[in-house]
Amino acid sequence: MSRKSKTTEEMDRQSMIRLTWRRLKRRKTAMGGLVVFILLFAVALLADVIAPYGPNEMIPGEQLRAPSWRHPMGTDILGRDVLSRVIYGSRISIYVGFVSMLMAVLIGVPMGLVAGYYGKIIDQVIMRAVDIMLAFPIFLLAILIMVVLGASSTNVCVALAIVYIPRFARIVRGSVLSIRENEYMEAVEALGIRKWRVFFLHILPNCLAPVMVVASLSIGVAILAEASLSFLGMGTQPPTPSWGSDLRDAIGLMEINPWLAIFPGSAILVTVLSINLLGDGLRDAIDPRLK
Amino acid sequence: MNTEAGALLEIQDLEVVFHLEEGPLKAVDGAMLTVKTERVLGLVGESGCGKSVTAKSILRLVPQPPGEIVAGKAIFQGQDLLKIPRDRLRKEYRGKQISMIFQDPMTSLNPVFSVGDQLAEVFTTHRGMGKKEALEASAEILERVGIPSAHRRIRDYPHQFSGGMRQRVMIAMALACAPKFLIADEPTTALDVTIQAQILELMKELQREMRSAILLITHNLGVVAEMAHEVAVMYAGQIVESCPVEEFFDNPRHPYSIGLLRSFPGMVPKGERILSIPGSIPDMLNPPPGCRFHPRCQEAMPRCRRESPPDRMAGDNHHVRCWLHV
Amino acid sequence: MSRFVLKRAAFLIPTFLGITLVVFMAMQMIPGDPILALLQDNYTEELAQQLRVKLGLDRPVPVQYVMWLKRLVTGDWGTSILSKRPVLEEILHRLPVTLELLVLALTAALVIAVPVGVISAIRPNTFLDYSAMTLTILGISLPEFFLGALLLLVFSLNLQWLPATSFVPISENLWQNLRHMLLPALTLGLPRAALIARLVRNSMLEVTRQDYIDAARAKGLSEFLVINKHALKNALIPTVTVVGLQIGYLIGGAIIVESLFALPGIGSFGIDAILQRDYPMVQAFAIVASSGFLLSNVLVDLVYTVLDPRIRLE
Ligand SMILES: Nc1ncnc2c1ncn2[C@@H]1O[C@H](COP(=O)(O)OP(=O)(O)OP(=O)(O)O)[C@@H](O)[C@H]1O
Ligand code: SF4
Ligand SMILES: [Mg+2]
Repeated sequence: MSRKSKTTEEMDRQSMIRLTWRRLKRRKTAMGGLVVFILLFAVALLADVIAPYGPNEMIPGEQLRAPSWRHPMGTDILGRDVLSRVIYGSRISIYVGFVSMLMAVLIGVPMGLVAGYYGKIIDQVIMRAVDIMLAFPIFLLAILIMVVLGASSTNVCVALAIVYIPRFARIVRGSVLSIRENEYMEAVEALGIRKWRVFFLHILPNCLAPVMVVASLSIGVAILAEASLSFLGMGTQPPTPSWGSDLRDAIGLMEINPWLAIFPGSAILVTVLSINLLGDGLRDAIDPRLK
Repeated sequence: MNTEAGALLEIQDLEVVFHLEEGPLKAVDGAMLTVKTERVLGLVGESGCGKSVTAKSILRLVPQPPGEIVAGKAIFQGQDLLKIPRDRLRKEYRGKQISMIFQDPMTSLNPVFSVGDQLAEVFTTHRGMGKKEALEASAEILERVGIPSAHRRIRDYPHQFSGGMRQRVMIAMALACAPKFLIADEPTTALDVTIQAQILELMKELQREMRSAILLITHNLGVVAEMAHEVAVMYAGQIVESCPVEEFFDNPRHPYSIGLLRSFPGMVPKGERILSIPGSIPDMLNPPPGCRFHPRCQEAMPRCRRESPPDRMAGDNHHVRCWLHV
Repeated sequence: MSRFVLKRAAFLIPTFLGITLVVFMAMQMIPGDPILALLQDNYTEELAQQLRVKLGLDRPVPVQYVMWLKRLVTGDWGTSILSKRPVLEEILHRLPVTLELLVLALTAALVIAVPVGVISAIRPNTFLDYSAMTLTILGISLPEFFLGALLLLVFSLNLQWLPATSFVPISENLWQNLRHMLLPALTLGLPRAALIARLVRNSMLEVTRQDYIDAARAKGLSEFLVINKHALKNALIPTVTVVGLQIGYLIGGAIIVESLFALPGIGSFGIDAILQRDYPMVQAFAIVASSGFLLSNVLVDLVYTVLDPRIRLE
């Protein structure tokens, strides 16, 4: 009997994923976001092939050029090709976006599961810690962690992961609690199905939807935060190409060559926009009522 | 003697469509209804058959989008309410000549404004009263619907009232301008049985006092027997039978009406079995062809599957929509 | 005051203690000897030992925390390594600029967001709605420093309507002060406006589906009253919660905006302190900014109770 209920539940889950995908496909803006994001991913992977110059290659006598055929985005004060730097800069953004999100999910989701599933003291301890973390303004907490860790792109990942862990923990705990309250869970437990099976076959999959939505949107937040930290001089350090730190260098030169600011800035905008469109579409597709 | 009463409201060929992502949903499909002056018409039918949408259409409260009233008339004292300018509808009819009471008193009062404030709005809108005068009038009418220490309670918020009290407030609000016509959409469904009886009693009393006509939507045939003079039965967006109340209980014609009566506990004589109608209401996105009821009808004939039956008279004031009665 | 507010206020103290603990631990974890940073060139072994005893750094860490907390609460926040002036003084000196920036930004955000959200919601899926929602998703994807750079480029450098990176205190000349604050406030406020507008739209759509809105229409109220009185007040309740959370983002954004526009607030000051390793300033900055967020949430709770009688009268 349990075998049967398992297979039907699995079927339900598969059909839910298919249904979500079908709904997502109908949303043109979400699909646009997905396509753009895949393109950006490809650009980051193939930077060595696509970029006309190296990211730190200084071309003698070609400083601060306006966009031209030779340099579609112009050159910076050191004579580096801005297009090439923007292309290489995508690596940092996507790296930080994904790695920090994955770290946060890998730590935050189990934390939430444990808190929600075991309850009592464990729950109390985890949730008080979560509350305190959430009491900090998100960007301030990231800055504070960066002060401790020291500026580097990898540390940015760690800092943003720490910032996002409590958010995932809270969401997952919430859904675990609501699932546990379900009568159907009581039935499952009454059947004497082993705990870890309940955990992996019933509880975990049911937390997936909200985690996916927050995870997709958190990639965008992380990319914005990396750029902001680098803009403040606390993230990726020069000469590594990063859109945020390149923009920092461009501000003082804006009167002479505004393109230096516009291209890396637009790159951030396009990347985060594509993720937000995708994340929004995903949320609508998973739960159309939330529209 | 009652049959002489003139028509106050006539709904003709009403069609309401909801444009949904999955496709158009025809919630009301050619409904015909007549409410007579100073009389109570009971509108019955299963959940989702279009009763509320029909009622809301009269005051053009169907949410648009996704809803749209695509055809039909709602003639109230010679005026087609579906045609007149919105502003006129609002100023002369809504809340003044025609009022509405909703199913769930828990959700039909705005939780963030005091009861007095919400009641007073009727007086400031339709009677041109000042705020203070309107509050005074509100307290009076609250008193009239049986709310103790009304002068004090007008300052309270909806969540401080019980369900029955809230429905009294809704009734007060609806009757504030002594309307000629009251639409009551399942006014007691959400209430306890004892409270139900009190609210119905109050409505009956006020109906007599104010001489209003009522369109009373309900699931409860007991309420119909108690309150209504005429009955209309709705199925899948259509009125399938309408007749005076005695006729409905003594001599129902439409197989669906008969099924409803057999499935209602209070209506079945002792010792007989309660028989629920087999099957469920059709998917309104893809309604069955021909007679909408044929998949569930025990009398269904081949013709019923192909052609929609016309509305025919089956006696004095007795309309039926069924191939058995053509 | 309602139980709700009291209940929320009861969390204030433990949360504040939690914040101080996190900041304290962060400061402990910073690599390097703090005494070295404090003394810099004057470093001698003897002076260092004296200072260690004075600051209690020779005691166990929990004791250090308690002593540190005591100094914090009594206003003894130490001396800035850079300016050699008391940290508290420096902070108080710069706080008004940051507060003004935050208030202006939040006001701008709300003044823009609420009408846009309401109009989009009452005309859903029209051209107007689509345009507004496209703009708002652009807005939430825009980093503050890039938006600020664009505004600077257009309004200061090209059109020369507004001053660029300079500042006039509010006490000196209100008009000039506002001219200097306009771009920073917009830079900070517009992305928040975008997010809040989306939220107002969604909660208006939700609220206008409710029975009491039908009931208000059925009474014969004008559409203006139905929307702006009955629907809006309800829609603002969930909005207020999110605005409360957005204040956290505003505080983070203020750090960036102050740096970009060279405003002498505690945000830009904090970043300078971090980059120059002025740790007494850094910890004060962290505590002030997070306590500010905490207090703003109490204010938000108060607004909440004003809007929602169910909570006020609980
Ligand atoms: N706002 C709406 N959007 C989409 N569909 C709607 C909307 N309102 C009603 N409908 C659809 O119209 C049909 C008729 O609904 P209606 O509310 O009139 O039923 P009802 O007879 O009043 O049922 P109940 O007895 O449950 O109140 C239903 O199929 C319903 O799904
Ligand atoms: S028309 Fe046919 S199917 Fe429909 S109710 Fe009459 S007998 Fe039944
Ligand atoms: Mg209904």
